[in-house]
Amino acid sequence: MLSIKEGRLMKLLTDLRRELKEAFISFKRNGITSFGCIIISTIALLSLGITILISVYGNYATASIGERLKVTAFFKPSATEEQINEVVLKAKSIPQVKDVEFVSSERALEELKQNFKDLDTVETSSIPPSIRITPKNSNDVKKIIEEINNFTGIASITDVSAIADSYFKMVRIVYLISISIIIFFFTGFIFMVASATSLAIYSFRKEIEIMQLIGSSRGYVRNPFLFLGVFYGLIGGAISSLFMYPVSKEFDKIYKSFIFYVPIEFNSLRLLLIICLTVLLVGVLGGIIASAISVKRYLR
Amino acid sequence: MVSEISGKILIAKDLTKSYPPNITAVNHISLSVDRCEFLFIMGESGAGKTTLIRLLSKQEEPDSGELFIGRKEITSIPASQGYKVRRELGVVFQDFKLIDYKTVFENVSFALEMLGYPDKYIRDKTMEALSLVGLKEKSKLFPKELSGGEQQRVAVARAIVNDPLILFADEPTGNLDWKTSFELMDLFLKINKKGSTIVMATHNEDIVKKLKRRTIVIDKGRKIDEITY
Repeated sequence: MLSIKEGRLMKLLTDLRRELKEAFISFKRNGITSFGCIIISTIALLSLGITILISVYGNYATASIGERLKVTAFFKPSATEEQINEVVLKAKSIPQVKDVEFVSSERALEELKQNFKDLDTVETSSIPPSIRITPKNSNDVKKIIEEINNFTGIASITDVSAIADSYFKMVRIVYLISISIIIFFFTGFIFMVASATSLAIYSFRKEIEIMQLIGSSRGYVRNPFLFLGVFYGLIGGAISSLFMYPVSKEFDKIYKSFIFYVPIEFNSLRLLLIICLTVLLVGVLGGIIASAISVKRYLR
Repeated sequence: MVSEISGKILIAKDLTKSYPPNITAVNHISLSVDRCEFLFIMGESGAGKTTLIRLLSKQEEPDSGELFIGRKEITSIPASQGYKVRRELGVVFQDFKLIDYKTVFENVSFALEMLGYPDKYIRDKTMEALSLVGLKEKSKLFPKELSGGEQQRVAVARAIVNDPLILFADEPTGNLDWKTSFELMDLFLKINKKGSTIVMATHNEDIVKKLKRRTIVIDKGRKIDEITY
């Protein structure tokens, strides 16, 4: 004799086996629609995976570039040591400032010679002392420049915010385009799966009627159609996951060729695994939601 | 109320069902069925037999009236929960209502699967039902590979596999020839002899006269006669 727990488990397994079998029959019966659903779900989920890739690489590059963004303020040749010390102290007290580093004329010349070896004629006196300010956040560069402009003894400031702005703008545009593509294809995916489920319900109307007449519960009739949505999402997710490996390799190459100075220090294989799992999960959830819409509408 | 029901497996009081715009398919019909009885509901096409069977087997809700099956008052059970009542009944339809993509075995066994019985029990009970209807050897075939009479036998096996309180049959011989119809009736008699209660709607007077069982005659939705043999 089976215990109540074992009995429930047996029923659950029997139900699951039947629901999967019937979902597969629906899948096969509407072959062309199923094929269309899988193509759309693959495109939608692949675009999601690529957007996650863009987002991760973009965020990484943004953070790295942000860390390298420094505001350099040059002192007037007439600036006294007292004025320089005062500016350093004032700069450190700006809330948006992370770090302030004083660069003497001698050190600046040394660095310049290191970068440009044929600059023998440059003299210390031609390079003014300066401070290099690291912002806490790359978005605060403009605010810091405004503050420093008011300090006495400052001759000029290198404004890197324009470069940063154009980079951030580009990243934002890429995000927006990617998200629009996701929304477009994901909406298509939901509509396609919902339509395919409606079609499956229609083609199974005789069987559904029989099941209901014999005393099947709502769940018994509905669940195979929910599994049908899961199938579409899962297969689309699995195919797009397969595509993700070559896509991520290619993406890595492109990224390195454009932003070679920002080294990638994260585990790209782990990232790929997370993306694939996300894509599969979103595919399954999307499939369930889409088929649930149709089931709710047509299987009252 | 329970004492009134005892001895009777089904009591219907004043059942009425109308459809728009102004068709009264069942008009204040009352009837009762004893345990192990074989009852005919006879009438011409359009007399309201099918609607009455549908009301008695909780496939439809009456506009008014009361229905008791076993010791339960059925009419107060909401339509959404009607499947729980139908599970305890067996129904055979004129058009067999078999699922094409399921084998004979699966068509019968799924009536037990949905009740969550263990695999072995389902297998044994299904084979037992198929043996009773004489289709044990054809359990692996699909409905389309069977004759009309055999398909109806599968439907009967599906209806009896869960030992229903009452077996309803709505014109079960409607799609069968004369010889097959009588073979099927022999099967129903065999099932009745084993202790099952059967309520059968038919327009076939020959069958009713041959079997000589209590018969309720209906016309235009009304009970017009009751013949007892």
